[in-house]
Amino acid sequence: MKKHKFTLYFGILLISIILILFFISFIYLPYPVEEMNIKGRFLPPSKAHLLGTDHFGRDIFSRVLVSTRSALAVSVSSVFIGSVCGLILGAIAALSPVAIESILMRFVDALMAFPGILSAMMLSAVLGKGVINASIAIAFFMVPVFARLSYSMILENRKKGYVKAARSYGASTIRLVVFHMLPDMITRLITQLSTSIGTAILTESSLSFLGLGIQPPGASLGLMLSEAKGYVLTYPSQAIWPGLVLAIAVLGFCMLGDGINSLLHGEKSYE
Amino acid sequence: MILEATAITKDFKVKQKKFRALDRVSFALDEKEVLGIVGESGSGKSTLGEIVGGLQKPTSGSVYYDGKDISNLNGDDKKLFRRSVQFVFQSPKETMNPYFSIRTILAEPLRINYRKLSKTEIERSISDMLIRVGMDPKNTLSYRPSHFSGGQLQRIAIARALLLDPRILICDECTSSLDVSLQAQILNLLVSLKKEIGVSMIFISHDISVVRYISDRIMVMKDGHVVEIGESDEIITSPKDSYTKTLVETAYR
Repeated sequence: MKKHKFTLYFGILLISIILILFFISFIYLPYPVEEMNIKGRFLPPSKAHLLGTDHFGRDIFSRVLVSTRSALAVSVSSVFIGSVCGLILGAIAALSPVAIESILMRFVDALMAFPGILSAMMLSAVLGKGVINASIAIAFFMVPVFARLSYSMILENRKKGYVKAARSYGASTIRLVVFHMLPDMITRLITQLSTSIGTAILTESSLSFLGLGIQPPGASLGLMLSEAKGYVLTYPSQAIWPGLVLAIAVLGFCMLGDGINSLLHGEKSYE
Repeated sequence: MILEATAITKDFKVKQKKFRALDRVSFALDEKEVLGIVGESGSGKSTLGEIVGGLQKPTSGSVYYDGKDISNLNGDDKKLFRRSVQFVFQSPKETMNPYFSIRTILAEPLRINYRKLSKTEIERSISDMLIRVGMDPKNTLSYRPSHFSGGQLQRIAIARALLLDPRILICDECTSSLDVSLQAQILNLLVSLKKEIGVSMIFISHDISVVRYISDRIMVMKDGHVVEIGESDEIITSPKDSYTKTLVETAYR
């Protein structure tokens, strides 16, 4: 099996694991996520508690299952919002006169200068805690990535002969972008989307870890890790399970993106 | 006079320095006339073609189509101008979107410019046009550009340009990427089409022998200037400028 195919298939495998957990969380939940049991704290894995219980006696398996909901919901929605806004912004910049173009792109550069997690934290602090605000915050730092993408791809495509030819028989700018440039852009877009979802899951967890995303007693991977950090040495499995799911999710989406990229472009970018 | 260019000047910025690609170039094109523009690469001839065709804006100077300044056209006039001036570019492969079939490529100009045409009407027009340029529609329409050779693609490109029934056809080095026998075929095709539909042409090439074959008048360019302009035979038999002399001598040695 070729290397890029391995990356692709392994990515798909990892993502399927996450999706299975996600769907199970709607079909079958062993215990309510918020049900505490003071007598049954720090229980080892058993038939009753598949992955054991945490410091409040809550079932870790149930909490991990429910965590995948917020991880996927926040990451997919934020990447969707961020990519749509970013792509439009980049396209406007690429097609505008130089003055507007430089204002927009310097704005994007300024956004990019902030580390993603920092701007997300700032926004969460301004907007307040909660899932929706976390999504908006993450979407906000996705904007420059996609703005750069559409900007550079339009500039690159604009020089192509068939774009010039289309202009010569009267194609409108929107038609040029949608009809002529999009087919060429779509592969890079898919790659970027997949990788971004991975990043977004990680950021969502970081925000929850810092107390800016999902609020207790809700369940989120970052929140679970945050709660487990006091017991890492004495009871590591409380941190290991959410950490493992997080790693699988992020790795899965990044590998999928990379796999698609090398499959479509025939490049070895994963060495 | 169908098209007139007056004092066209075009500056480019290269590494912060101004570079003058065209310097006060003026010429006129008559109805049903073929004007050849010849010059070495970098002489500004392609830029001139794109400016008079409205694809680029000149730094100064104006282009008049039917007596109207093309930079002031709007609405229907602009659309009409866009449709009336069509291009055939140097490398046909690059001017066709590799993701589309020839059917899509040829239908697009019609779809954009004549919204009311039905599918069957479009299909009929593009088939007719393909036959006119010597291609078999049956073995052409469903394939992508990568299926065809350079000569075939150039025929398709000519078909695409003529579909909109233009009054001016600007051929920018349209035979340069082809080998000699194909060059002759395409040239003969253009000559016969010109007789058939009476389209005016601006024929841009670095090869003066090619230009002479098709042109009524020839304009010689060098470094953004017009060196000489006149009747084809006159330019070839008795060139006045030393640069034209060199061009002619190298071509007909």
